[in-house]
Amino acid sequence: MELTNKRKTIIISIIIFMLLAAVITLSVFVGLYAKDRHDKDRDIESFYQSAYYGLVGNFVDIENDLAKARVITDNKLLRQNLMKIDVNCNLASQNLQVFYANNEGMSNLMNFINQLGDYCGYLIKELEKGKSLTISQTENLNKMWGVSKEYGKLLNSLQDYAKDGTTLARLLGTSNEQFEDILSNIGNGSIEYPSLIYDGPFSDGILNREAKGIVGEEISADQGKVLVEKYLVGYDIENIEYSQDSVNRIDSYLYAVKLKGGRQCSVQIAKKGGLLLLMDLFHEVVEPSLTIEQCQKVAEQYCDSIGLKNMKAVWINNNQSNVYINMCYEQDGIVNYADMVKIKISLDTGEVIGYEGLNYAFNHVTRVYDTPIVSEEQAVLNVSAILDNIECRLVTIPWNVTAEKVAYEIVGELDGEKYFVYIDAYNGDELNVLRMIDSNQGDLLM
Amino acid sequence: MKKMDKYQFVSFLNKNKLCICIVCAFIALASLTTAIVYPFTYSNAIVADGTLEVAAIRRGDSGSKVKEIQRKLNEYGFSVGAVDGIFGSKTLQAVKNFQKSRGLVVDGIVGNATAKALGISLSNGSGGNSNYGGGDVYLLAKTIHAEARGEPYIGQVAVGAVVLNRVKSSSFPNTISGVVYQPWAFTAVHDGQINLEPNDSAMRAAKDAMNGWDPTNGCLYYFNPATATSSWIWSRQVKLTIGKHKFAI
Repeated sequence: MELTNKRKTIIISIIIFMLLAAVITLSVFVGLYAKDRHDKDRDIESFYQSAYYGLVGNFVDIENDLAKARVITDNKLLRQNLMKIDVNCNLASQNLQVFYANNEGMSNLMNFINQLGDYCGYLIKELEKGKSLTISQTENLNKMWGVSKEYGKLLNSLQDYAKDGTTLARLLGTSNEQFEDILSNIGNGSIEYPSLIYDGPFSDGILNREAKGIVGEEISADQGKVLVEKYLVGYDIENIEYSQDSVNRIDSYLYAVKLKGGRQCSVQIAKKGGLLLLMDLFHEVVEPSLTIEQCQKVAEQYCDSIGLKNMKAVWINNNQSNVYINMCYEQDGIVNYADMVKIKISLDTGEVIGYEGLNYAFNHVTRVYDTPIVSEEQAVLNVSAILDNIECRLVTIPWNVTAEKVAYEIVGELDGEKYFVYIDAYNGDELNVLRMIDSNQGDLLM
Repeated sequence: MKKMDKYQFVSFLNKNKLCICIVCAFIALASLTTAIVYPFTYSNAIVADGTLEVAAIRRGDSGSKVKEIQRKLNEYGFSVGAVDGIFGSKTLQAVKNFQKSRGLVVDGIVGNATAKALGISLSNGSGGNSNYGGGDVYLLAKTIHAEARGEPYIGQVAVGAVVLNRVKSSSFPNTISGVVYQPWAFTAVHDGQINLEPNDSAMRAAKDAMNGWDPTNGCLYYFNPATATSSWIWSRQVKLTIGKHKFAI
């Protein structure tokens, strides 16, 4: 009996010791975990505070500079002022991108910031030409000033919500009822600003852009099916299935095509006239064997077979399994970059495994060119002092999305790298410079 | 509840000593496991996050740098077959085998450590410039893989196109990373699936989207009607459906 009690005591002691050890170990690690979690939460909160207060500060500066823009009369000072607004809009956009995204109000706020910055950039270019702001441009700036004041107030009010224990990270970074209420004021149109129609990437005019290359009568989905067969001539087609129509910037029919061997291909054609807009299929390249020249020939033949004449290869991106070839419409010896289609060719079978023709659909027209005022010799004069092995040709390049300019494209080398320089054919202005990069994804132009 | 005196408690312990020992051992083991695993939790999360490896070479890449890697792998006896400059499944397997043999993190990505072990440099040189292009394509491919794997190929290209349409739109951030990592913009970022390694299909879809393929013709949103929880997304104007996704503006 004595021995049994002793054993019992030993067992109990061991159990208590093990439990204590376990509890201490767990406590230590739960404590460490909690500390780690707390540190991370604090870092995240600091991150959100930095973004929030940065944004509030940006809006103070934007509002202030917009107010001044109403008074400034000097061209140079106005440009400097607008540049400050543009910079603050960029900073505000950076700060805003960490906020909760799935909300119309948030998307409107982002839209306001980006459009205002872009609009200021446009006005700066106009002022650089020696022009003054028009009455409507001044009115637009005035309205934007009013809107920025409203947004500033709204953003300031968020501080009150973050006082009662709610962190800014929780308020701004997640779907939050209070925040949704505030943002709904933006979303329901109580803050409105004018449509900004100007030459720039975020101009409201782009949304209603006309598709110049879409011509002809509207066709039926069945007629479209016949065209799909024509566009896929040479493929072993098993079945073409009309999938749906899409009422969008360009109204289109979509078809799902089953090819022999189990491959699936998607084809999209315009309802009006039946122009091929897009074709794509997944093809695993096993043994690449074709040369770039062979692929280029395939691309030219394909353009010809679908009715696109005078298309010239202007850029080839070889990623060693597929080749992407950009083909542009050439008229009177001038290459038109806006009228571009892209063709993807498999380097093992030489098949066309993709086609993209939206730019062509939006931009293709027969053009009338004025005779260039600047000669080729004048255009290359400055560039030839910097670049070696120069080649030059006349092209049209897209300008501010909806317009285009006739320019000399001068290709040359500096330190073994290729550069593309574009000189306006009418006034000699240097319009753009691109650099060719040898990247993991093949050659890129940046 | 009946109160237990000292003797009853001892008797209870005695009767159930085996069970109690097992429970204690389990608690002790759990504590020990926590102690061992805890210090590695954070560091592993960083290794698994491919976004830190933007300058690395990985599946889907191609070009002269990939050829250099393939040549080295063949030299070391990890066969990739033909040196074709395409980082495909054979090269991926060879890289993994090489990493395993050298005690490196086996992720199939040639980052600085793997490159050093192979005796090559990832920095700029005449053979290619890995600083450009790869990061954006890879991030886009990760987004496509996480959001649309299992969807038809054209649906994967469409998801990539939506991301790029957002970059071009004034209502969204102006970079791919800004769009992808906007809080709650993509479920895959929130639940961590964005960190999965993209497959060939996602890589190719990303390249198509980057080259201008846009089956949605300018859509800014997509959602799966079976799983969408936001009432706001239903207010968007649907333009087309591909696979399980509805694409909208």
